[in-house]
Amino acid sequence: MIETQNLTKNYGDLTAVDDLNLTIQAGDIFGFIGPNGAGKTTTMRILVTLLEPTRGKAFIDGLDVRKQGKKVRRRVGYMPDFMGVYDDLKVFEYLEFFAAAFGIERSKRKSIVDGVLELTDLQSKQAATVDSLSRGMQQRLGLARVLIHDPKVLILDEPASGLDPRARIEIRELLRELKRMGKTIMISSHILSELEEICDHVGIIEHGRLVFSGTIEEIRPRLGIHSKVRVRVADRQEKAVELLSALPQVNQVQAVGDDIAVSFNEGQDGDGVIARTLVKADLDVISIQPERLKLDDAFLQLTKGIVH
Amino acid sequence: MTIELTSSFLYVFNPARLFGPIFDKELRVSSRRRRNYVLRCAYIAVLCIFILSAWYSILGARKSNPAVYQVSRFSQIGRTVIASIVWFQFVVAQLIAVIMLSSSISDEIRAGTLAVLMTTPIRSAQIVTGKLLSKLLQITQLLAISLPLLAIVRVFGGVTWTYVVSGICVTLTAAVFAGALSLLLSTLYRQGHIVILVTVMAYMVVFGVLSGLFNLLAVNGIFIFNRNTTQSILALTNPFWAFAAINAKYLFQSGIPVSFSWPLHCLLMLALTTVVLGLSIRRIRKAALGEAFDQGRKRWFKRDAKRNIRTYSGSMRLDLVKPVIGPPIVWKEMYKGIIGRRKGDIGLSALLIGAFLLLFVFIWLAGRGSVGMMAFPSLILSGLYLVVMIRLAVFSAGSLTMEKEARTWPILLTTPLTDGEIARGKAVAAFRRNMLLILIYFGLLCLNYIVLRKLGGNDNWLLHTLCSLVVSACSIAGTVLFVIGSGLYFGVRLRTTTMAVAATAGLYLGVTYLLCGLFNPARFIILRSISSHNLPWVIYAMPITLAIVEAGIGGVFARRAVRQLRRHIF
Repeated sequence: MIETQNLTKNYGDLTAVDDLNLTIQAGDIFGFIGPNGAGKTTTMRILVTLLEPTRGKAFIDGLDVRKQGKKVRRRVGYMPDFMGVYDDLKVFEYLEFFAAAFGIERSKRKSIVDGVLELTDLQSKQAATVDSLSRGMQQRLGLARVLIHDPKVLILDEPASGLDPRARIEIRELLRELKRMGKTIMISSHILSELEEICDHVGIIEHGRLVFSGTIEEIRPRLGIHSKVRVRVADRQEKAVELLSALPQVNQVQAVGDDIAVSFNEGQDGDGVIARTLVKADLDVISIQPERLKLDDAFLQLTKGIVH
Repeated sequence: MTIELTSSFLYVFNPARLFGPIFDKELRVSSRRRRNYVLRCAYIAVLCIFILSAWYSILGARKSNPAVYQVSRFSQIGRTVIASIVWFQFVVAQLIAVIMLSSSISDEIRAGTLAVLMTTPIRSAQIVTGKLLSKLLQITQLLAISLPLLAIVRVFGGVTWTYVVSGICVTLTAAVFAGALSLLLSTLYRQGHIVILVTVMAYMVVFGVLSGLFNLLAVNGIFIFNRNTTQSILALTNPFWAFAAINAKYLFQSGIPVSFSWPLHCLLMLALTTVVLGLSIRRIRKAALGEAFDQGRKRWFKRDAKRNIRTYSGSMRLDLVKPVIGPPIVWKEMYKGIIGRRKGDIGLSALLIGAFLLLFVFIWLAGRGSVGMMAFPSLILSGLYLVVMIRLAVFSAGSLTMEKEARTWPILLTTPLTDGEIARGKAVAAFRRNMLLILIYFGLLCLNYIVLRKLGGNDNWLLHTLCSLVVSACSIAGTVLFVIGSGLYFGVRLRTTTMAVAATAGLYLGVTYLLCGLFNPARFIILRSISSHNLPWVIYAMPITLAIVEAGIGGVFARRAVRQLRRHIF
C-alpha cells in the first residue's frame, strides 16, 4: 500500500532522508520510530505530497506521490505532529468544511460527519468551538477529520504526543478500531511502548536511513538477542540454578533476587524443558515468565542517538 | 586611573544596566534578524527616490534652461530636498515605530514567555521601556542616515539649523508616541497587523479628521475657540500640525499659528507618551496573568467572555452551526462576517465607519460653500482609501499567513483542492469582506465629485462628473486587483501576517508613488499627447492607464502566488 524506492530529501547540505526503501502492506499498522531529527516527519510529508523528494520515488496505493498528487490526497488522511485548528469554527463546521474540501456532496456531508463524530466519540461536542476542546479531544477531532473522506491510508505523525494517559489509551483504542476497518496506518511516535502494543510492523530510522524494518519478533535475531525467561521457585533456589545450568539449551543462568533469569542459546527456547526439569527434581515452581524484547531496548540498541 | 574611570563610566551608563535585560535581549535579537537589514536597505532606497524626485521636480523639467538659471535655483532645490527628507522621515519613522512595536507584547504572549518574565525580578516598566527604547534606537539609526545630507544642504544654504533640529525633535517625539501607542495596543490585540491598522486609523481619526473638523469649524466661526487659538492648540497637540507649522515657520515663512512653540509640543508629546507607557505597564501584568491562566488568554485575545460561556453551555445547540455553502475556502473566510469578530476587527470597522460619517459632514459643509471646505474632503478621502486598501491587503495576505501561523496550512494542502481553487477562494473572500467599505468609499467619492463640480460652475459638470466617476471606478478596480494579487503573493512567500501585510502595503504605496509620480512612463506619453493634440480625453486616459498597469501587475503576482503555493509551506 505504501512504498518508497531510494527516497532521498536534501535541504542544502543536510540529508534529511537518505535512500529510504520502505514497504507497508495493506491493512497493517506500521510504527515509524526514530530519534528527533531522524527524518520521520520529512518522510511522512513527502508521502502526503507536502514536500517533493530530491531523489527516488514514493507510491501510495500504486500512485506516484510526485506525479499524481491530487489522486494521492484523496486516498490519504494526514495528521501532522502539531495539528492546527481553525479557532472560530465549531466542531461540526470544521468537519463539514473538510468534507466540502474533499468534494463530498452536500446531501451526504451530515451523515458522514455524524458517522466520524460517533466513531471518535465527539458527538456531545459537535456545537462547541474547536479551540474550546481539550488537547485529547482536539487530537480525536484530528482523527475525525482524517477519516472524513474515508481514506485507505492514514499517516499519523505522533498523534499521542502531549496527551495524558487516558487520552493516549483512547487514541490507541481508536487506532485498533480503524485497523479493524481495514485501514493501512503509518504512525510515528516517541512513546515506543504504545507502538509495541498496536503495531504489526515497525521501522526504525536514524540519520535518514532505515536501520530496521520488520516485526518486533524479527528484531531479536537481528540483534543477536537470546530468548529469556524468569523462573521463580518456592525454595531451594541454588538447586534450581544448578539443574538449569546443566541443560544443553541454556546459555546462561543467573539468580536475580527471588527470580532466576535463564537465557537460551541462539535459536532455542524451552519453557517446557525448564518446567519438566524442575518438577522432576521435586521443586515447587511458582512461575515461569518469558521476557519479551521491549521496543525501547531494541530502539536503544539499533540507534546510536545520532541526529542531524 | 584613566582605564578605571572609563570602565566605571561605561558600567554606570551601560544601557543594558540602565534599561534592564529586555533592552539588551532586544538589541541582540534584532541584530540577527534579516528583516532589519532589509528595512535599512529599503529605507535608504526610498529616501534616494524621494530626494531624486524632489530634485527632478525643481530642475529636471527645465533641462533646456541655461546653467546660470539652474545655479540660481539651487537654494530652492536645497529647501525642497530638505523638506522632502524631513517629511519623509517624519512619516516613515512613525510608521516603522508602529510596525516594529505592533507585535512586541503579543509575540511574547504567543511564545509563552511573558508569564515566565513575570516570574523573574524584571519589572513591568523594564519590559515596556526595554521594548520601546530598543526599537527607538533602531529608528534613530535610520534617522541618522540622512544627517550628513541635511548638514551639506544646510552649508549650501536655503534652510536654518533651527529647522533641521526642530524637525528631528518633532519627528523623534512623534515616533516615540506612535511606538508607545502601538505597544499599548499590542497588549490588547493578539495580531500585529490589527495593531498597525487600529493605530493608523486612530491617527487618521484623531489627528486627521477630528483636527481638520475643529479647524474648519473654527475658521467658519462656529467653534468654541477662535481660529488662532484652535490652530495653536492643534499645533501643540497634533504632531502633523506641529510639523506643518515648523515647515511654514522656518522653511516658507508663512502661515505660522499664533504662539506656537515646538519645544513645548515635544514636551507635551513626551508627557502623553509617559501616560501611554503607564497604561501599558498596567496592562502588561494583566496580559501575563491571562497567559498564565489559559482561560484569561482566551478572554483577552480570542473572544469576549460572554461568547465563551455560550460555547461551553450551548454545546448541543446545532442551530448555531452554519452549513457549508459554495466553495469551501470562500465559506471559511466569510465565516467571520464582513466586519470580523475580534476586538481589533470591530474597532477598526467602527473607526472607519466613524471616519466616513465625519467625511459626509465635511462634504455636506462643502456643499454649503463653507470656507476652506473645498480641498479637505478630497484629502481625507485619499487617506481613507489608503486605509481601505491596507485592510484589503490584510485580508488577502493575512488569509494565507494566518493559516501558516495557526499551522492549518499543511492540512489544507493535503485536501484535493487545487492551488488555483485555494488562491481564488482567498482572493474572492478578501474582496467580498471589503466590498462594503469600497462601496461606501465610492458613494462618498461620487458625492464629493458632484459637490465640487457643481461649485466649480462648469457648464458640462454632469458629463465631467460621470466621466470622473467611471475613471475612478476603473482606478479602484485596478488597485483592488493589484493589492489582492500582491497580497496573495506575499502571503505565500512570508511566514507572519505582520510581515506579509507590511510588504503588501509597502509595495502598494511604493508603486502608487512611482506610478503617480515622476517616474511614470505613461505620464510622458500622455503629456506628449496633450501638448501635440490638445485632446481633453487624455486627462481621463492617464488614471485608466495606471489602473490597467496596476491590474496587470496584480495579475502577475497572483499567478506567481498560485505557482509557489506549495513551496513555502513550513
